[in-house]
Amino acid sequence: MSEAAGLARADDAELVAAIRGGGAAAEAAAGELFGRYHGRVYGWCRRYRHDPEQALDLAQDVLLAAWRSLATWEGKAPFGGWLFVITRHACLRAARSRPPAGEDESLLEELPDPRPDPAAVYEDEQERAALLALVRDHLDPQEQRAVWLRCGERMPVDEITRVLGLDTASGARGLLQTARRKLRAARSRRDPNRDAARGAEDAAPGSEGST
Amino acid sequence: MSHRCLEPNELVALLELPAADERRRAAAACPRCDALLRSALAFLAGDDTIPAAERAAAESRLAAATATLTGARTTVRRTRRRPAPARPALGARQWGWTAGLAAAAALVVLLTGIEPPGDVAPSGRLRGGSQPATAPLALVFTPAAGDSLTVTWLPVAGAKGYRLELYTADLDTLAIIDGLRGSPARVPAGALCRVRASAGSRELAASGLEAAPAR
Repeated sequence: MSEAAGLARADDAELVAAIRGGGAAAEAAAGELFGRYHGRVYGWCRRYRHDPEQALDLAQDVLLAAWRSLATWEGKAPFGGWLFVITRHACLRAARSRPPAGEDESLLEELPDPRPDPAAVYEDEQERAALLALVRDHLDPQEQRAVWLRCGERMPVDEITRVLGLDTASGARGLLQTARRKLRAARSRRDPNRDAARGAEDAAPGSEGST
Repeated sequence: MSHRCLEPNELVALLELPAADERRRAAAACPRCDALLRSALAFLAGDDTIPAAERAAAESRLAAATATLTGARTTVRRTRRRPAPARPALGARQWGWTAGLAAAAALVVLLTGIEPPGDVAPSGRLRGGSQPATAPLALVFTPAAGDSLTVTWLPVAGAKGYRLELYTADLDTLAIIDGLRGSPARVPAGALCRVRASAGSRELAASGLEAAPAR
């Protein structure tokens, strides 16, 4: 009883220390520590997986990864933040394993992920820089946030609306449509021949398009 | 101009800094860093759009998964509707009430792979006449972080392990966690709980089916 109350009062760092101490107390501490975040991890996974069972599988993967790498938590960031990084990474991997759904967001999808990615090796660095410059130069900060969350974080549009606290009727969808329109216009101005060529490629049978 | 976008693990280190902190402000001024910071804050805030029952079921199963990670032997089951006991139609048939329940128990055992002894129905009646004369086990619930509680019980002399059974208010099985060495354990608010103490195949004590208080 007192042990349980003590665990409930302990902060995350103390619980991690108890886990590292090993023994029976470690099990209870792990249950308490991870239990504090079960709902959050599941909630985040649920944003990326509409099926509750798949979300649960993903959340279990997150817990496993967190448990295995618990030794790497140094306390520089709050434990919850550290766990967010793991959860985010797992959800991103899950999202990337599926083709993007929804409306035509080809221009937004062309935006590169700024983090190290083997696929990025094959991308045209100049085009990357140009696209990022387009985002920076032609979108307002809120549009840029939405674009980052959609393209970099693969976050569902409705979730972007919530994360950014948008209270307009169209939410993030409107923001992304505006961003897409601006980017398309800016790129056409920058390189009018490119879009014409791309249009021809897209129209060609079996064409995959280009980036 | 000189801003360098931070890696996620660097960004989350800023979460506990006050909003006025220079590094935090620099990150907030960058749309990409700010978007990620807001994501982290949204993660920590939790998602209140998930139905409470779904969240409770998920938390229970994740608790079971955590128990597995930390050494307890856990059986996590998909939520399954408990076979309806003693429906009126059964009474009109030749199957007796006890036989019907026994068949249901056997079905549950077959479906879940849980070895006897020990029924898995929260009513405690599926055991029929084989209910052992076990000592009562008192459960104490204390609030914990989030929507969960901590359940504790006094150690049972001679017990080698404990089984924690969790059910929804509708008596759907949330999780059966075997091999706990003792309390405490974390349970979702509102879940029905029972703890069984055993030594090998012998059940030494069992609690009643008790509801964890709603938060």
